[in-house]
Amino acid sequence: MASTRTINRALRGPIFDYIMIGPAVVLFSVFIVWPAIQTLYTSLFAEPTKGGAFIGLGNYREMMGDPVFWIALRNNLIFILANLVLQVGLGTVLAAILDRGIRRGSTLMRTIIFAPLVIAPVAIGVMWKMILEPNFGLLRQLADGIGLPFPTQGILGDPYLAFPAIIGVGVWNYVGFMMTIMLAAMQGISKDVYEAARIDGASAVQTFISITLPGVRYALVLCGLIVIVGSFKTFELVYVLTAGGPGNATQVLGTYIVESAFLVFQPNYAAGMSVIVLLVAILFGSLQVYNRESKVKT
Amino acid sequence: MKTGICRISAAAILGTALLGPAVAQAQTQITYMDLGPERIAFNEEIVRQFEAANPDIKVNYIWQANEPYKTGIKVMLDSNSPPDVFFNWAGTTVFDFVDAGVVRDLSESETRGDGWTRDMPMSITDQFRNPEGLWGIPTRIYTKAFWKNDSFFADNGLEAPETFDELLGLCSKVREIDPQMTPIAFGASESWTINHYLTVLFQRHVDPARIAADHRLQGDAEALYTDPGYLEALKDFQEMVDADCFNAGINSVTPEVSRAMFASDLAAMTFCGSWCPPQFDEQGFEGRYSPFHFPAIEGAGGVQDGILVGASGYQISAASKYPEESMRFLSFMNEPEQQALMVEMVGQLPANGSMVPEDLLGAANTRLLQMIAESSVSSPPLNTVMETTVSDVTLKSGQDLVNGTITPEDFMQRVRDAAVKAARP
Amino acid sequence: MSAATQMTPQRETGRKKRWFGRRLRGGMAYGALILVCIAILIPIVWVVLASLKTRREVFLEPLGLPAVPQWQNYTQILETAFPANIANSVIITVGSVVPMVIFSLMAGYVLARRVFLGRRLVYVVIVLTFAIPFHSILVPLYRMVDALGLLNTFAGLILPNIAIGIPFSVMIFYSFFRDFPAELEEAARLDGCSPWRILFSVVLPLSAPVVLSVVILQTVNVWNEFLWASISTTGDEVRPWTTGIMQFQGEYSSDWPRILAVVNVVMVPLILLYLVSQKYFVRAFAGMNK
Repeated sequence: MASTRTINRALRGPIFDYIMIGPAVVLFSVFIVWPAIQTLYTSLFAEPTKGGAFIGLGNYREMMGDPVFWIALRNNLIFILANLVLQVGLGTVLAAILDRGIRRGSTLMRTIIFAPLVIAPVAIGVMWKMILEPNFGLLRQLADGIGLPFPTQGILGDPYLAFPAIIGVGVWNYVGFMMTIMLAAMQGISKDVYEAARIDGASAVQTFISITLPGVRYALVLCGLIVIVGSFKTFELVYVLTAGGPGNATQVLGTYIVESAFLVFQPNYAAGMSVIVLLVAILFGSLQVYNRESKVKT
Repeated sequence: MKTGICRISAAAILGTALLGPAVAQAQTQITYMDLGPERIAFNEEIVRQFEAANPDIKVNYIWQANEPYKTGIKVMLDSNSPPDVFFNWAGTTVFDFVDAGVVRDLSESETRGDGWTRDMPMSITDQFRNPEGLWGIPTRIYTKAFWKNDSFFADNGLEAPETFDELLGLCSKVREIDPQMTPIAFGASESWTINHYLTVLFQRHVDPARIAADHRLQGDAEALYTDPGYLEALKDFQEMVDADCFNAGINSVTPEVSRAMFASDLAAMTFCGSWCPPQFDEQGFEGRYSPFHFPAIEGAGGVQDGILVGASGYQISAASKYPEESMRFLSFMNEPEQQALMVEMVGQLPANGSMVPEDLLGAANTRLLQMIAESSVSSPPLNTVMETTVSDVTLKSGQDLVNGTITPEDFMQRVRDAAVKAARP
Repeated sequence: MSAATQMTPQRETGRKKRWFGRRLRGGMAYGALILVCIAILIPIVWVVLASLKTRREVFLEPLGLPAVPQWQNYTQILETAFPANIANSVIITVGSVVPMVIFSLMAGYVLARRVFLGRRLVYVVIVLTFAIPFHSILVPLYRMVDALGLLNTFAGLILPNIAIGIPFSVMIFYSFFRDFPAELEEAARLDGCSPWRILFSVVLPLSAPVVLSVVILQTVNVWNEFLWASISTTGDEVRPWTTGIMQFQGEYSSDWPRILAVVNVVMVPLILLYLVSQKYFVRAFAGMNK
């Protein structure tokens, strides 16, 4: 029967494709794209408590003059840069040592270094606040033990030390993940290449620079991407450690948006900042489209 | 055709499985949302008692912990299904809800003389009142006092200070006696603790009517928070920091750690709320501490015998389908008998404390209620009564002041800027 | 002739030097790794110890061992809503991750392998939005879930979790299938297999490593998700552990030993999951270095 054949062909053709892509597209459009569009829309209105009138770009103008918004944006940028250097850099070095430097105990160490990734932010906040506590905390006791001075304002309460501390905790949290990806990539490099380099008398550092790094360049890009996006999206780590304090010293866009929307109840101003976040997110996305595309061509 | 029906019913089955069973509601159901977790056991008991007495009403009790409650309450009230009865701290949010039209006026219940009005002090009910009506009823109050380590004070011949200068002097005396001893344990990783100091210091330095008008953003916007007393108060606070009254790393210390320090003989004093004694006791400090008034400040222009008192209670949402039943539940919950039960099970200060027997209250609470009675003016904490954005600036700037990144002048400038902005229509 | 027989005395000492250098480097490598491991383990060990202390010890003797291990911190959390919270978390996590991975795999596969109208648009939109964080859409999302009557339901927790995880998962599957050897599918197609058949008989069996990696990553995300849960749940019936943990966190004080006990308990399933699937996890990421 002709109709069955048509159905069959359609099932093998576009219907297959649309059935396959349908659920993801529907869920994602309803729960991500639509709210994102609404965020854009509500950002053009005054706060509900102030009448909720259409004010065009009023919220954005206010944002430009809001020092806390700029602090948050700056912290986000610092976070991205620091994490790129520390998480990806340290992760790569650790992976290289695990890959080439040692023979025994590699699995155990890999597991230990990876472990913090699975710890919930709620838990990370609890443990690190206590470790950094300035009167009884672990770090204070260690400092006293070896006769080092401890910062008088503590760490998470000090406007200059709090953010570096958050970065440090982030490294502790994620370096194992980066290391795992890099290690996987390094294990894909043929042993013959290293052997050849060894016969040529190349040092470990030379081998690392001339063989390992080029061999893992795509994994490096992937790690960089994960770190950039992750650092940009950060909310929970800062929320559980300092909630943006002391004052607004460690505010990032995530915490400032949630605070404005839910605590100070300026949902439309928060929507305006969310739009900035969405725009930057889309910018990262387009870089990834570009990255993918250039990769396919080569 | 048949398969079509089959699919639809399958989807429906899946739907109900995902959404949870639709509750068949033969009786009236009211949703009651409270702060957790301290009050869970108490609330379950109250709901049980109430449902037994009112078989036609079912109470759906839900709770949120402190932080999610603060962040979520406004959104919840804004949602399609707000709780009928819900907890709130007296202050700005109460009236924000009034402005948004999402809560009910409860004046009628008060005029009718429902059960909860028995022995309820008017001054506390007033924290939920504005000229348009009564928007909530109080359940409990909280206050804040200095607590001293009795044996340390007795052993070293120290006295509770009467004046602010004596307090400063005491700080250096404690340091002389024992350099390891912190004079006043203070944890400001959560900045409301700074705000509690400032509440009392403002009260000491500025006329209460002026403070109230500033908080409500009344009058000329440019004149808001310009009273010189505010600056004096901030300078006094800074003097306490500079006089080494506190432990190291104030902003890094959680309020909880500061309580543990006091209750472990590591600090001579602490400025702590009515919620603190149970925690002192838990550290094995029972009976070894006592409260005293925040000292008077000589020559200051405000109220010298005032105290910090805040209230919290419940509101009924305007969207409630069963306002009468909700009110009945609310009133039941706040009758003196149930309040006594609350004191027993939760251990906090009841709003109508005079009805609760002293042996239930305990020594510390009894003394605190006395101290409230001795005081001429009760001020709720700044952050609860300031306009939301001004309160936010005040909270944040407190930590900056402690860290020395801003001066008292900067602090007041920020507050004034925020107030001017908030006062704009 | 082999190189060894030609070796001169000079080269002999050079080799010894290198041997010594290798030993030194090996020692340094171990040293560095062990230091890193210790730094990473200290906080974790501390949490385990602290969960066995009394509240007083947690604050005032944070370094030492618990005087008497308080095992009841663990048994007592079983008498609270904690087991129910864990059950809810399991439902939410499985209910989110399984459909998320299936849908993302399906989408990633056709995006990478097939040509159809709208392919490019869907691909670009998904990649463009993969960096969108929950907090930037929280308020409208809340209003929508509320309007659908899904607040305080598993569906209200699960659906947004699926949606937020889709873009990143799709991207990983997309990369994987791009590099998937086309010959296999081509052979099956020439044998007359339908795309369904190819998918189930050829592609899926070979996708285990990437599926497992996405499962691990997304399980960690959903299991630990806090923000959306804290905003959208008020009832005990659906509350996951991340907000349920606050039953130990009062308005003014917290039951730290018990909180830390919870923290330890919830860590275990994820670490086990990682240990079990570690091999595949590494292999999947090796595949991405192309």
